[in-house]
Amino acid sequence: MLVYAIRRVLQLPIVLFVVSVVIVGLLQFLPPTARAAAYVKSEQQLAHIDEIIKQYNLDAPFYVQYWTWLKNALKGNLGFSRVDKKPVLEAIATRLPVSAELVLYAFLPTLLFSIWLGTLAAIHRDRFLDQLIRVLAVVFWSLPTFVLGIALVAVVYGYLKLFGIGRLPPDLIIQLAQQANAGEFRYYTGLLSLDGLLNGRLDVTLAALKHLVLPTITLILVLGAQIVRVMRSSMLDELGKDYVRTARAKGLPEKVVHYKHARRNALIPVITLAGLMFAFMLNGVVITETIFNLPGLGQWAAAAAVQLDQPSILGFALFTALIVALANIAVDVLYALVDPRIRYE
Amino acid sequence: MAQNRIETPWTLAWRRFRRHRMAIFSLGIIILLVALALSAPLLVRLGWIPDPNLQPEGPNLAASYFLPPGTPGHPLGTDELGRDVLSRLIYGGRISLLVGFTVALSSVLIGTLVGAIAGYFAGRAFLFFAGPASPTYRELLGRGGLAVVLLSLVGLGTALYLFYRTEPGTALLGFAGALLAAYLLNRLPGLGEKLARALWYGFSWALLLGFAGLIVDVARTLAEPGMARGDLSPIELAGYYLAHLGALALLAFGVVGRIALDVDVVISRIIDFMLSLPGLPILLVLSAFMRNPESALGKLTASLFGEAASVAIIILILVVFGWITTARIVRGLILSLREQEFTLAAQALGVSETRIVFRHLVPNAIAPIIVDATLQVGLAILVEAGLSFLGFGIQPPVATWGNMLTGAQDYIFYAPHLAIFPGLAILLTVLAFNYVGDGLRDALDPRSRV
Repeated sequence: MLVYAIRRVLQLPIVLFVVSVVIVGLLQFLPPTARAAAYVKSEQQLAHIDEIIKQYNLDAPFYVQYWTWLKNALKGNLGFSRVDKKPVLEAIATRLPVSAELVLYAFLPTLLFSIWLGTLAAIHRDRFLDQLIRVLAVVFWSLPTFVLGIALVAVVYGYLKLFGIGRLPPDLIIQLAQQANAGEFRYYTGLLSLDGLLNGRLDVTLAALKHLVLPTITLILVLGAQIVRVMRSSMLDELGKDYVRTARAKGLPEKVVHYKHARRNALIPVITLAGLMFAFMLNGVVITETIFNLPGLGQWAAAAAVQLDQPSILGFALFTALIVALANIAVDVLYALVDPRIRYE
Repeated sequence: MAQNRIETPWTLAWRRFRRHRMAIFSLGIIILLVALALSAPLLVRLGWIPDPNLQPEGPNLAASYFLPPGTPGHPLGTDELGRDVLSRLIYGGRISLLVGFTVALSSVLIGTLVGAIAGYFAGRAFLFFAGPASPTYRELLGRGGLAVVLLSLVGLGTALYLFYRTEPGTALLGFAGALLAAYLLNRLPGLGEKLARALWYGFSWALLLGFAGLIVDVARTLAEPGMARGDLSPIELAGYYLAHLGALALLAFGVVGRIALDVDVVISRIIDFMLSLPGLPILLVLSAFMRNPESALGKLTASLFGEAASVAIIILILVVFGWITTARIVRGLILSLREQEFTLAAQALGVSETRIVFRHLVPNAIAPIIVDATLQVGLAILVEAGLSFLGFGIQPPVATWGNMLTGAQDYIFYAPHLAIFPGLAILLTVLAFNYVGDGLRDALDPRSRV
């Protein structure tokens, strides 16, 4: 088991290698001037793009260029992000907490909420509750993230004047920036809701949470719908199996049959989906952050793609590939831990 | 009186489908949407709806902007440029449905083909390479003699010529032609199969030679500047000699060795890899590159499709990711179908493998494929709208539901109708396709009896 996990982790560089080859390969479809920006570290250098093309052999064959990129990347230089006007790694580091905070608050509620609803629907099969949950699941499954997001912005924020857009109210951002400069407010984790507590600033925590409500709800509703569907059908499968009949024949109460017997087994496919949800969340985050104006990784990627900022795009792609691969490994390991029938030799 | 009407599986399926009220209702909506989309230019010509890009002219322009729904002549109001929302919605629907249907159809066709090949040939490794001194090739020589040698040389020569003396496009065409020639040879009676293999092995020798050459080439190009300066690090120097050694070893192996590849393993690895890619970011990257008018790909699409380039690009990108789900489904189905008695019967009768796959196996897997196709239409519409919303999909002034929403976002508090209608249109359409998919799933499942 441990050996399997270690082997999978050792395979990670291969995944990243292939992803980077694919993306750098795609970059070849762009003219050298457009690609030169990948090697610019500061704004002054942008003026001397021709020299950079020569210096980095940007009109050389693909493998020469890939080699150059790889050597730079291994030294920790992923290029300069034009969108953020700072090196790519630094940009990722500043923006990661914003996305992480969003995913953190969305992931667990989505999972618990939809497992609960899916189980409920399966237990009440074909009755009103089941019908209702199914209709809601299909509707939210069909609802694009951005339509739901815009609707929430318009109705809840615009009309009901509840919650907020962005990360914090503007005056608080300015205040925090000043206090951070003066050393009165320290960013321990970058997660504002947590840093507020650590600094003893309950107002910051509350404001941060208030601004996270709408994007979190958007992610939960759109992603949860899928899990509800899977959970319901998996639970129905389990409820039809022989061991459930045996359990009932033994005279076990329905509650025990449902929650102790059937649901435990029904959870197995949901684990796979939960891992995939990480990937879905990275997709969802691009759109959610754009709509709710959160300065996270998703917004960065969207802006980088608009401006054809290759170093940022490449950095984001590698980062997401890493996250997705790690999530997949976690799922496989969890799988074996939960289901003794699954063994990796 | 006894019923003697013949009940085919399809009539049974239709009867089951009809009982799914939401599915029937959704089917009606889809038919209505398709009819509207098809007749849009006619509606404009009849004067029932204005042109989607028609902007008002005259002295008092502001009065015709942001008209609310219900205004005479503009049932759903006008947008920030005074364009008719209903007309743009109908024209946007044309794009959405075009993208949805084209993507679903292409992905399902490709996915079915790839999945069927992977599933049927799984576990039967294909001898991809056999060196001139390998036992396999010597046996071939014993059967075919001079003809085998000649064809192998033809294969080798053609492949080397294609690799080194032609443009990539021509080489690809030539490669396809050679594959076709091998396939046709294979169908000839008598020695045909042996000759096809001889041609293929000749081709595979060229691949090996080319690969060995590439390794040396890459090593030399990478080390050249350092060597000229004389400051190559020991590791780099070791890599340089290792590459040469590796190429030599490869050639030595090529003389006697054999490489058997399981097509299923190759395809499954590709699918696994595609699934491990983060979808949306890659979509963004692809569309950003393809849209760049300076890039070769951007030029190509622009010259091929003109104004519709962005539509073509979006379809292409969605198909690149779309075939995977179908391929996985079909592969799994074919893997189990090929073990059943009817396949054995067909094989015993000497039915050709192409025919077994496409006339015996794929038709038996058609129900899940149809369901998948329906769901893919909805998904494609959803993703297209998302990309267009972010500004990567279909570019204005062409109206799509996604880019109508992008514009509407800025006026959400002032003119909410601009966002409500495209949003509802997307929701309704995707919902309809998903319900029809659900209904089909139940209807086409022979285990659910009516």
